[in-house]
Amino acid sequence: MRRIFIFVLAFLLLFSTIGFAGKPIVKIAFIGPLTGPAAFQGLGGRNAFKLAIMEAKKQNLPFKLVPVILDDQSDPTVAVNAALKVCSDKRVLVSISHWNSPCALATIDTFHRYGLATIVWGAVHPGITQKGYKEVSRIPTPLTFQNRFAAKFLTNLGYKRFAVIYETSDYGKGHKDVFTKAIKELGGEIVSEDGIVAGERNFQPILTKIKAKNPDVVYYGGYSPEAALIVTQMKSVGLNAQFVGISGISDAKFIKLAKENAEGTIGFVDSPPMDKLPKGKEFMEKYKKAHFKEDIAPYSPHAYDATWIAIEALKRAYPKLNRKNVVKEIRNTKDYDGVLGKISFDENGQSNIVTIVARVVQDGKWVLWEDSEYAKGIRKLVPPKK
Amino acid sequence: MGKILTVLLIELLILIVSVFALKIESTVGFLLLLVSIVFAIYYGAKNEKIRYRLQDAFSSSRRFALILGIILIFIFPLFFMDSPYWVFVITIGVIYIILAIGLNMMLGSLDLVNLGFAAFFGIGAYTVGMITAKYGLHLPYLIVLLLAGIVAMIFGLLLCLPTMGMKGYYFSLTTIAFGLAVELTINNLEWTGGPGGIKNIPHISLFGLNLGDSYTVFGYDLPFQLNYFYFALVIMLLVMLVAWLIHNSRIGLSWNAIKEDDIAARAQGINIKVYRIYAFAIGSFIAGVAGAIFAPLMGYIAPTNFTYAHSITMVAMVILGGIDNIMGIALGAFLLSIAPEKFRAFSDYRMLIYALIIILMVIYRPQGLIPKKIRKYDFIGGAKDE
Amino acid sequence: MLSTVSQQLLNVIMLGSLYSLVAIGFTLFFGVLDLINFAHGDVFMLGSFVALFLFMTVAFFSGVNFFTVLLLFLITGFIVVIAGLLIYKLTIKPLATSPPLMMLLVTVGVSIFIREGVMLFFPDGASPHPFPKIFPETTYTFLGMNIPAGYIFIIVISIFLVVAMSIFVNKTKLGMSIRATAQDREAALMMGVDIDKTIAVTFIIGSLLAGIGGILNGAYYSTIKYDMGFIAGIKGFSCSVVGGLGNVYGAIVGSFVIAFLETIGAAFLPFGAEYKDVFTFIIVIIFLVIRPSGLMGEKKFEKV
Repeated sequence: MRRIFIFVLAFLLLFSTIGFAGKPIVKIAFIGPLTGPAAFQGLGGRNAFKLAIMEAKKQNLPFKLVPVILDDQSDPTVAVNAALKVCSDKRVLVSISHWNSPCALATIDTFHRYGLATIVWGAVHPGITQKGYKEVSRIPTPLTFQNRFAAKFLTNLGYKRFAVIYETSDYGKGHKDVFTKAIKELGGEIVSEDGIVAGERNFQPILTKIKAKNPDVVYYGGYSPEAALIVTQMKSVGLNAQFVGISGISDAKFIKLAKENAEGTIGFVDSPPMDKLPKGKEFMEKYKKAHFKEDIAPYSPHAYDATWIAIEALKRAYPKLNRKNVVKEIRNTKDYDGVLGKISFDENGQSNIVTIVARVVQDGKWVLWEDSEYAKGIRKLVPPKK
Repeated sequence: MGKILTVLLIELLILIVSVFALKIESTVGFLLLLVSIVFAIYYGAKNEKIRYRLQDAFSSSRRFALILGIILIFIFPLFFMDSPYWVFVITIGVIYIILAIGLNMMLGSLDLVNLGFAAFFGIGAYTVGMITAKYGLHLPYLIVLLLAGIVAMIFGLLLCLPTMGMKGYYFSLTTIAFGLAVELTINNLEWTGGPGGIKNIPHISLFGLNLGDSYTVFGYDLPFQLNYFYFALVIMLLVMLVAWLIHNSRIGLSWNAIKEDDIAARAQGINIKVYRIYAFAIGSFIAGVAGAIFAPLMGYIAPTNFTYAHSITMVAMVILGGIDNIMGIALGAFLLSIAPEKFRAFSDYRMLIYALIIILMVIYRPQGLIPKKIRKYDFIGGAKDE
Repeated sequence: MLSTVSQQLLNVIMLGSLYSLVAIGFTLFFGVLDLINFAHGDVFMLGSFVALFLFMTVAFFSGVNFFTVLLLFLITGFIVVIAGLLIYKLTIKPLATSPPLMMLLVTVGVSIFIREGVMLFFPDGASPHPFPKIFPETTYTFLGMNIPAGYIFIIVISIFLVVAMSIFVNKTKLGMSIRATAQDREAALMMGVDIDKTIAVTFIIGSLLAGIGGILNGAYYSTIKYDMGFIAGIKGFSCSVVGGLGNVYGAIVGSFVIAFLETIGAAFLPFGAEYKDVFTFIIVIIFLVIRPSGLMGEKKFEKV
């Protein structure tokens, strides 16, 4: 008996020493893909977030800013868990959330339910800002813009017959729907539409089928791992058409995987090269000075601006620091002078920033279309067929 | 009296230790705690006197131990009121206990290794999602719960009938193919929302109570996850009771007879087909019910919640805990569903650790943490676990 | 039209060759050990990653030429065989007397272990990796078909492996012991066959074929990823079921049947590309239910 008592006492003593200390603080959360297939995007965004927090801490803020960083692994269910974790911590007043559209689509309901303001820093699905949630705002341009731009750009180059392959996710399907509609409106012809499941490796049967339809362009709505396989296998089956992709393929990984087959691929992104942004050079220098382990990523400026907008909103909300006020103050953002330009939000929370550019792979690098040898006519894309 | 006090002390100790185990934020502290627990158990098990005293105390006051245990489990989540996230995690743990018990109907009782069990879980969850979110039908929740179970059961029977004659590998392989076919179909069908899943699943409302609301009791704001915890707990206790009754009934006995030697069982006049149908019907029904709690708790479900990896995790839970032992299975399921949260720093290694657990347990301790009890027979017709 | 048909046929042949290298292993394990080795697909994946690793280190210094590629195949084959033997000695053998359930579970565990191990410990293992170009780059046109030279190498190597394996199994003493064990384990034991050695040899052959299959797969698709073993394993298993578990030639026939159905499904059915794997799994379930002995297997009756 006594021995058991001693056990219990020993355990209780052990735990009573683990105390809890706390100061009044304001937490600001970041959620992005820190591991998994899109990790470099998430890490680039996280570093920008950290950078903004570090800068803000140097100012004499009337509250103590504590960053909370969570991983969504590009997986919507993990994202919902992370959002829930953030929402249930009452001291979190803003969340800078998500690079992936499926993740953002899955969590906006959670943020809405808990009345927590979130600024989406990288997800481009139009549905994110279509629900009319006052808690949800977004920095990057929605993909609808991207695809209308793409359709116009391609038809201007004289392409008429388009074969469309897309990933059967919200992301891929969303892109496909807008793109095919825009092409039809511009008088182009969609010769085929094929959905594929992410992770598919064997595209030869559908590419062989597409080859028989003789398209000018093969458009892929999805991410780089599959895009690299498609462009490589197009060559294997002898399908000679211009390969075009959306922001999901416009990264270094695509070139790394597709190697020389990537040459001449056109990709659209909603972020122009860093040095062409209004405050891009300045931002790059700041990022460099902070000595992060990971490189700057295409959406780092977005995450940076989102974080600063949140901090400014917190400042304005002070001393009434509660979620409701912060939600209101974020929407009150007017012409915030950020890396991307002067940012304001419309009534749906969409920012006014429109930054879409076409790029082309030239000598193993993504080059801005205007600067490329393809635009100058020195090199040739796959020509439209008669 | 001393015996009852011992039981009380030990159960309180388990409660306090588990609360602290979940509360400690530093990984190092948690590991220290883990080491001391293992040491304490080792010391307790080695010391004949202590072991005998504990065994004696628990076996002579079984009813008291059971009731106290249930009361303590009900109190357990109240320690996590400041962090709804933990209540959420514990609730998921309870749902996995329900699933593992369902799986045991096939895996433990009949030696049928079902490697596609997550499909039934998914079918249950999707049934709820489709009824409540997609079609917005306002059926009483208990009917929805029942429907989820029944739909899962129908699929269970769909799998059961053609696999009637199969054993061992053939059966397992069929279940893998079945699980993947279900997962891919849900993933591809537009009807089920594709990879984007079903969003905005409304909360459970039960006898006029909405489980999504926070209730205030004695001035405390209870997180809504707590409602789900209690609901899941009640279902879990019901499922455990049913499983225990079945295990000790003629059905359970016949299952085990078939497991040991199906030909001998048939010679004894046991209709193997009928008992297999029982196992599938009950097992998949339970999984469907688990899905019906899971979907409204998450508010969002996607095919990624119900993959092959989840099926494997469920099998690992049963094996770790102890095949065909309800308490063991509950322990295994709870440990494995909480562990990844505790080891967030090592969350990348989660599947690797599960795999190691399976390999090591199968080779060195195939009977699991809490081994199955041997049936003892008093007189004709009565079987009793001791 | 003709060119489309012939090109699709070529796709079938390529896919069928790659599938059969995995399927043969499944069928051998089943015949000799009564074991479905879930880790087999991951041994296949391991082959491609070992080759990539070797290429990154060895070929970095010497460049790509005939000998480095040959060496690549040999060393990869060797390492994969060691891995297969380790799997057998460490996990399968200790369970020789356990119920089959345990053996099944342990291979599931090993499968996840290999997959997650590669993901975690290979540099940037979670991302897909480009596979080095080990075959010449030229492309031939024949009957409207587009045939990259690599395809010819892949087919030739596959045929070579299958023929070598078949000669080994049919003509050598060890091969005979494999067949004898597959037919009747007890009788083989009584005739003095060293069962342990026989099983080890089976693991060597199966792993070798899968490992080389992994390299060829990398060369065919030009990228590799840590999780490709899972689906390859499932496909390989499907092929051996359709062909008839336990029958080596059945596995080859099954591979081409599945490859044919998948290609045709993806190319000609509406939404075929999305659903082709679902079709495959349904076909496998149908075979398991209606004709578990497959196209070429013998019907087995359980003796009481």
